[in-house]
Amino acid sequence: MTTQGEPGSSLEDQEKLLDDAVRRVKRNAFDMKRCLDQSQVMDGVNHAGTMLDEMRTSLLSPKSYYMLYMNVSDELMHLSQFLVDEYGKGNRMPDLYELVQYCGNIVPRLYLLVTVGTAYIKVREGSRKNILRDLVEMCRGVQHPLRGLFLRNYLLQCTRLALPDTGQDKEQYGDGGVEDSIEFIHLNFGEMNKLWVRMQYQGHSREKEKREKERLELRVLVGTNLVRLSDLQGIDAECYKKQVLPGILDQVIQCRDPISQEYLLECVISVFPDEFHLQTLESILRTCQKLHERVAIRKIVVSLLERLIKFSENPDSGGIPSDILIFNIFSVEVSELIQNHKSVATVDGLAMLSSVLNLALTVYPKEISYVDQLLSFCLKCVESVPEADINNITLKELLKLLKVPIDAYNHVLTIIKLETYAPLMARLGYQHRKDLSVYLCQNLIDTGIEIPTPQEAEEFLGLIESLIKKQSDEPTGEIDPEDFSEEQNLVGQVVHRLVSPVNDQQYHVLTTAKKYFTEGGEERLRYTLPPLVFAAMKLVRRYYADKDADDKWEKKLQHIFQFISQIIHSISSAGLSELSLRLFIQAALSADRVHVETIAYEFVSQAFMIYEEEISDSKAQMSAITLLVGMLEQMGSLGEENHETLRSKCAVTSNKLLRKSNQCRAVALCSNLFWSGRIAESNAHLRDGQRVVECLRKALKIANQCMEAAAQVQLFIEVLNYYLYYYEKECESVTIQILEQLIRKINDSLPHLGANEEAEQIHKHFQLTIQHVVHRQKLSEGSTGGPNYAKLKII
Amino acid sequence: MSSGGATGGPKTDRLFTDKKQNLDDAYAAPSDFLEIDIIHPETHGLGKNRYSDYEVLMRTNIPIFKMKESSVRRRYSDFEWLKGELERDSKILVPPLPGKALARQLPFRGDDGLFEPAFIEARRTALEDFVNKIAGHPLAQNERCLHMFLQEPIIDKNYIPGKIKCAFDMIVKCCLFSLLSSYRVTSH
Amino acid sequence: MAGLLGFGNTADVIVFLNEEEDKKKIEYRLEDGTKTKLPLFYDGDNLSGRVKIHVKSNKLQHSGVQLEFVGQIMLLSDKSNPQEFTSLVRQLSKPGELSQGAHEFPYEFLHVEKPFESFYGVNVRLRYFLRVTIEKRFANIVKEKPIAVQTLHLYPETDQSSLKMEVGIEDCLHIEFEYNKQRYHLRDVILGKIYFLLVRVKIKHMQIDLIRKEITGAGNSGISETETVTKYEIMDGAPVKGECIPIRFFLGAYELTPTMKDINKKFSVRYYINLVLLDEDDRRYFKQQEVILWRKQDKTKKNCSGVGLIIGGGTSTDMDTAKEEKS
Repeated sequence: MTTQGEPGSSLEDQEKLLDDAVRRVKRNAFDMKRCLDQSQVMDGVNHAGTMLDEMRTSLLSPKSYYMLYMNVSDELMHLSQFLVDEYGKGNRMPDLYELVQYCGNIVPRLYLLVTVGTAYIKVREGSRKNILRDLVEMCRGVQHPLRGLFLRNYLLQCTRLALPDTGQDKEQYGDGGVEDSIEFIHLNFGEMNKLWVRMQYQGHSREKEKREKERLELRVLVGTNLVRLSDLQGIDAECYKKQVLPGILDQVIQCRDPISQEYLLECVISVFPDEFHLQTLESILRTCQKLHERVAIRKIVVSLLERLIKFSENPDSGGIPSDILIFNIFSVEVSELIQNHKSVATVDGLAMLSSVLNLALTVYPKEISYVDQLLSFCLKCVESVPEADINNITLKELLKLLKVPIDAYNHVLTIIKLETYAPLMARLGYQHRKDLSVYLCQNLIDTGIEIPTPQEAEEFLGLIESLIKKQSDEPTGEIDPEDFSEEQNLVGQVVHRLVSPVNDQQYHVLTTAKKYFTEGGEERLRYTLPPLVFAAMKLVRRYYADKDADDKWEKKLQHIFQFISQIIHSISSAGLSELSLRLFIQAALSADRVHVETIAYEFVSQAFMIYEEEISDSKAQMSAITLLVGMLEQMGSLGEENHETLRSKCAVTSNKLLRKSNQCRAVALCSNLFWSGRIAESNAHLRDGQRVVECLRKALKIANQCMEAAAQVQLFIEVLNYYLYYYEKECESVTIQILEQLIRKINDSLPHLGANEEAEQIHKHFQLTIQHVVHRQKLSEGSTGGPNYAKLKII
Repeated sequence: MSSGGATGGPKTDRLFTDKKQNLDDAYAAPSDFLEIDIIHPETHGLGKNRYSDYEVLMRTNIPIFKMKESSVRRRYSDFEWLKGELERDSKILVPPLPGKALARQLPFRGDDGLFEPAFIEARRTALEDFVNKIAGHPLAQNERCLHMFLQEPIIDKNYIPGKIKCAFDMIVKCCLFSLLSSYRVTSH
Repeated sequence: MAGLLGFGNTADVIVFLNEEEDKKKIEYRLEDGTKTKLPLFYDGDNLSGRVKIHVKSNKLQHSGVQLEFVGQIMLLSDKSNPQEFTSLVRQLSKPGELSQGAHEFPYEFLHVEKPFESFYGVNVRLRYFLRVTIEKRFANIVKEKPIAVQTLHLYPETDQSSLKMEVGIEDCLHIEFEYNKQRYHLRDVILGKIYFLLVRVKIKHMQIDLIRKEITGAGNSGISETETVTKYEIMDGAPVKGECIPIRFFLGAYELTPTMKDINKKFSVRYYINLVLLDEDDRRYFKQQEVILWRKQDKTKKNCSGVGLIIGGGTSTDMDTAKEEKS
């Protein structure tokens, strides 16, 4: 046994030292228990003393010492239990209390004294008040940090169920009240904190970090004091405020030690109830001002705020009393911290403000002014720092802060009411601004909120400007096209949330949006303008539906179509010909539906112009023609003259296609116009069988010119399908002969195709066609009416 | 243990502590900070003039030392000088120095003799031990030779031996502790 | 001696004390290491009983039988020259003849003065005994019966001035210590505190040593024997300024005697508390203070014949150099 020397350094050394010590502890504990079993108390106590000699060691690291302590305190439990159960009655304790003090070495002596003293209290014979006071005072004799900390922890452990508390308890014990317990723990706490801080100065200064680590490992020993205080039922909020907390904070402030300060404040916040914190917010926050600069003050303040937020959200808590102006307190104290404490960096300030914001939003959801107040303080904070000093972490914190009201309100219209929101957002860098914009858009879309006024639209679009327009601080590097299109699609969806219930206002909303989107540059137009076109067309339908209530509706429609036309032209001038062609087609259909022939015609002609001037790729041409034909087929507002012009235009255009197969298909398609096209005058389908057959014949002719056998047969089959269609629609110009002829022709050609996948497809297509015919034949057997294939012979 | 004579309650009498410890004092860094590192051994010169010296780096908060931090270079013979001065002028029981290693100074050795790194390292730790013990001694702290050794760049061996006067004229109304030094001689 | 001269023990002598069985017995360690238990008497107690002489031969011629009560101080270095500070004599029988068989002589010493406490020390012994002497022509028959004496003191309760002193090494280590009293009874508890004013040495621990000094002879020629009765650790680790360490030290745990000063100009027994601080380099800083120990009258023992010696409030004279204590 020695108290000399430095802790054994190597791990193996430590293990061996600990093993040996524990073995000796066990041996002595065994002897102790044997004596106790035979009621030889003094011998038992003597063995306990020998066992406790192990606690005098200087050779163990804090971790090993802790293990040793656990073993020893376990064994002392037996002694304590024996004293309470067997020995205690009959006034023998006072003698024992003296006898254990004969022990020559202080560490074992005090462990014994604590064991006997607390047993004494438990048998309720001595003055609890005096004994507690005596124990905590006598422990001063151990000034060695590690040994003192553990000794005093043992004191706390033993007094756990022996501390005076409420009045009822006083009757049982005769003396001592909760104030004695408070004093006892305060004293012990002060001493322990002192020892804990002093640990820092042990050993060579080059091992500072190692010691800090060791100190952190031991922090719970000191924190147990606070836990004990929080266990006392007799402490109410008033007592906590006036007595308990000041005693703690005094030590916290004066120790000037960052590790201790940080841990203890966190501990205070976590162990005491929220009701107490509410009464002492100012003292806690003002304490923060006095903390060492290495303390993470932010962590402390934020954890306090988080607790209170949870508290106010808890339905059982009764909420935050109205007489506690929690927002005012926090905003004032946190501002003080940010302005006056040199270790609180902007980023910490923002993190704290972010929590205060959370609190304001939770506790006072209706007080927008609170939020504005905080945001403008944030702005002040950020502005007070030179721009060069604001790093990415700070900005990230600011971003987080700006998301808080979005999540809390879940209502972007409230966000745009916050005056400082936009200026603060402007402080973010490009990427963060864009992230936040995306967040705003997503929120708008998720909540399904509609932005009803041009002013609000203006403000909202202003907020998300980084998505809409090129920014001056935008980095020049490559943009990920996938991200970009995702963002822009989101903006596109935003357009659908720009909805006013009042038609005229909706028009202004859309105009506002247009103003923003047209500045977006060509790469954004394709995403943002088409939705705007559709939104405008929606408005067209609304005006038309309400036309009886609005005598200026035609004029207004004209404005909207103009608006649409302008937008599509912008898209077109951005080189997006196919898109603009489609949009013109949609616009034409839209105008058609509200029966404004001239405008519809105008849009169609715009579409054709684009087709002619801009679309040169044959595939694109083919699909454009398909669309144009489809469009014309659907329109019903055109008079015969215009319709005639346009269907001829379609036919001519089809005929001019470059590839024969396309020509063939387009011409065949045009047959539809002559069959199901409608004109305004009669509002009936044309049903011009003659022209239909002409078209199809022309198509066959073109197919005949096709050099490639497979393609040719394919076209034949397709045309055959047209014929069959019209035949079934009772187009008289389509005769059985024509059908038989074509089928024969196909049958002749098929064998020449050879055997490949393409040929197989063609065979299949033809087979299905013939199957259809056969099927119809079977169905129509016996019936007389309607077209049927009864006479058709299929070879 | 004979039986105690307690009657009634336990004996919890203590002397009343009239002076409550000031928290500034309670948490102040101990004022016994004194750390001397012997580091960076270097070998200089050639042949007969070849010798090793060490950096003596000192950090302290004890006011009797002029500087809170100082660094000087000293060789073995300087330590011997210090020991000699203290033994002559003070009542201090001076701890032993590591041996002179005469055997290492014999010719025809297979190794580097006095300049073997392992030897220098062993001597370094022993000197560190020695000087820390001396410098922590309250009586030695009052000897001029110690201050010169620790904090002045060059040792003036013709100095006038004497005591350091306290920086402030303090009237201590108390009597002296008796001081006994007993060093356990440890061999390295 | 008698046997040596060939006469043999012609008579057995036994000294009986009245109520001896009921007397408290005090144990003393003798110089040869053995222990002896003696019946306890106090100053002023009566000594009474009977002396039984059993004559073995036909008859015993004598020139008188005497009983003495002796208080004696003997230096172990000079055994042949003991000093008797008390001697009371009773003639049990005039010169004549004792016949074969048993003879009993009752005796009684009333209110016997026993000024000093029995002491069995390293170099000196103070003892009390009854001695029967049958005077004969050639060799007397002598029989001794030792008893124990303890002196009881009574100090006025008001005389409780504490011992308080500031002590230090200039600029290095200053403490103030206080012991609650300067005089303690043997079952007393020393209460004290150590207050640290300045700590510039790395203290490792602090203890108080209880020291007994036995001084024989007078003045400078005296021989002093120092013995550490116990070492009692009162502090583990290094304190900082402002620390106040409590002391509670129970004297009842140890075998102690009252402080004895210049007993019959022959010897003194003094007790000291040595406060020792040990630093990390094992240097010892210590301050020795004398405390006066005295024997308090047991509460159980009613104010019996033993009259407490009342000593006035004079402090000890030779405390140590400076005396700045304020108490």
